[in-house]
Amino acid sequence: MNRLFFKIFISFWLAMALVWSAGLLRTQLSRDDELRARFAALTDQRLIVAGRVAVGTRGAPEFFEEFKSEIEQQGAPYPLVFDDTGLEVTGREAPAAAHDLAMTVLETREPDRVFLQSGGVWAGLSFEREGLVYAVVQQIPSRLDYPERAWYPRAVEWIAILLSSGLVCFALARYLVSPVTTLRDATRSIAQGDLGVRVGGQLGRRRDELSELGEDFDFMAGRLEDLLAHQRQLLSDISHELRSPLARLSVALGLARQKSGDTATDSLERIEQESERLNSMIGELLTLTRLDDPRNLPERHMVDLAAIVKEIAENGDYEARARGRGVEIVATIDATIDGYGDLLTRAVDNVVRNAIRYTPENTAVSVSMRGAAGRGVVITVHDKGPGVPEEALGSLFEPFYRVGDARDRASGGTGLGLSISERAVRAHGGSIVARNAEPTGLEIEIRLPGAVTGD
Amino acid sequence: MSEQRILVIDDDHELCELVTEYVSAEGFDIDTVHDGETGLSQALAGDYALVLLDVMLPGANGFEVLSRLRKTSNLPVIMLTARGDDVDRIVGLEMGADDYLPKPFNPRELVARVRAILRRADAPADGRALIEVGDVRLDSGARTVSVNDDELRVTAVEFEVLERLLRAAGSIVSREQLTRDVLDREYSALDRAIDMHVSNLRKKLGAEYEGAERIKTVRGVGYVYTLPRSESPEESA
Repeated sequence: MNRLFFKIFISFWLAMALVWSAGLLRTQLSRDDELRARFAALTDQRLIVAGRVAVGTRGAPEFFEEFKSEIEQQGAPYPLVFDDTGLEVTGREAPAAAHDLAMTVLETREPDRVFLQSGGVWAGLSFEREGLVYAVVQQIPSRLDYPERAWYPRAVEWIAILLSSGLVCFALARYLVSPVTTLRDATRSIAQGDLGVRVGGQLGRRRDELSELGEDFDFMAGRLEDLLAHQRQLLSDISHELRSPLARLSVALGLARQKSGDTATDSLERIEQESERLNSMIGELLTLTRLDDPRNLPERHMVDLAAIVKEIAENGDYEARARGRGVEIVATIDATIDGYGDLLTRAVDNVVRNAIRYTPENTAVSVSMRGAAGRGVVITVHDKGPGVPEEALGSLFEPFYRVGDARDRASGGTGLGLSISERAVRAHGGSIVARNAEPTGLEIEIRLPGAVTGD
Repeated sequence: MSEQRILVIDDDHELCELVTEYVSAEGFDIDTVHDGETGLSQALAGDYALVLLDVMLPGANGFEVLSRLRKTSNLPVIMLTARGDDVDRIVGLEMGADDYLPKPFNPRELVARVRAILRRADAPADGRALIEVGDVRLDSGARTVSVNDDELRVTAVEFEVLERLLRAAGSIVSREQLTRDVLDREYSALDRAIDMHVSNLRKKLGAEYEGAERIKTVRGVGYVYTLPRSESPEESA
């Protein structure tokens, strides 16, 4: 799950639990009041009986013991009985509040009316017997702990509330967040280059703002896919179309050479060189557009990485020797990968060629290959050149990106080699990064997590 | 057999004209055809030493023409493939093309490759006419290959590759050496021509003999034709 889910879930749940418990507390309090009044009414009849009995059996406290225990079972002390002089008839000591209430009851002389005092703590009433008026006063328990209201039913009630509200909130949060998660996953896929993702079928049968967002997303992805496909197609078409006149140009150039003999060799050589450059640029553009579309990739095979690196380093060394430079393998490891041999060769070859271009005379490009910390293989190519300004490092793999105009043109690159490397490595689920090395030079690191080391 | 007649099958008329002009000056006889169907019938009917076949053709495309041609003929074929299209290149070789040339090409390179292939196809029988290794018998005079006395249909380049491997049976022949000997050019890291020819040979000869792999790949180096147990290459005049 994720943060948004928990935020919605927790806050809704909390709000719900708070509302429920506030309501519960309120009913609890009002029930207290109600119970108190009911108790008072209940005591009404008993008080009269008790008072009459008390007066009739003046001096017989054992009866009160019996009565007392019956009353105490309901959580209240037994009643006090006063005669019209204010004396407690059973001779017990009466609290001041009880005495005051008794006096009020006696003065009012309204038989059978229940008086409450001190906010309902004391209840009292008067009655007549043999021409004399008496007052009965009963303390009402402050907390009405009824035996049927023990802790467990209340706990069960609370747990039920928490569970049911939790369940509702969980469902709600899920309902709200799941389309967001789907959309996020789809957005990520698009960012990684998979423009074919659509969320339409994954949002269920909901009809709300989120489903509309999903539709808009699909529309956007479709537009994006069309545009990119169109751009790719255009680039590919242009390159194809350019090739026919170039093919004719090459042959015509050959004819010119055949016919002119030695008279225009220099110029013809120059034309040939430039048309060759155009050629390779178009070829690389085509490779690049092809690599952008995974459907164009050939079948995967087991590829011997160590052999590829060895071969490229040897060929590179052979070519570099002619220009007073070298390529050396400083470390190697046995590794294979299920992938595209030609693409990998091209990827590493472009990086090595680029390095040869920038390493100064009498230095060598070092190529190393080692197992990655987790799994897979890391191939590093390190030249001894001046390196690249830090801010340019990230752009090195963009098509036609040039660090230093003059220098790079002179070196004869098409500006596409490293872009092809990057796409080829990415087609293998790998990554490629450039960094400036110590003490000097540029280091390009190809990571292939899919490679398997060992024999 | 008119040894220097070449058939070009390519739908680019202007290119064909230019190629004709260039290649004629190099001493070849050249015919051009602009679609696959006509190309195929002409290749089968005419007396050509070699066919230059473009992949992208109206009507039957280059691969189709090649596969139909290979059903009955071992006429050397050089495929003209789109540059940067590795798949075309490999498919072409797999289907029995002798070599390929990415378009646009330098006409000098074209002529060099044509000459190389023709040299293979017309290689004169030297003194060492017969090589036998295990069940394989290669007759460099008659230019035939047979396995267990069943004659195999191999292309000129495949024949050359096999001959090199059999002559050196038991030891490694490098890709570089094979490319240089058979295709008259330097090997480069992206060159899969030899690998494809070897893979075609494996299919034709059968992958194994006496339980051992016939042609072994030596990683990063080249190929070796496995010697049958207790046998050395046997040669006779």
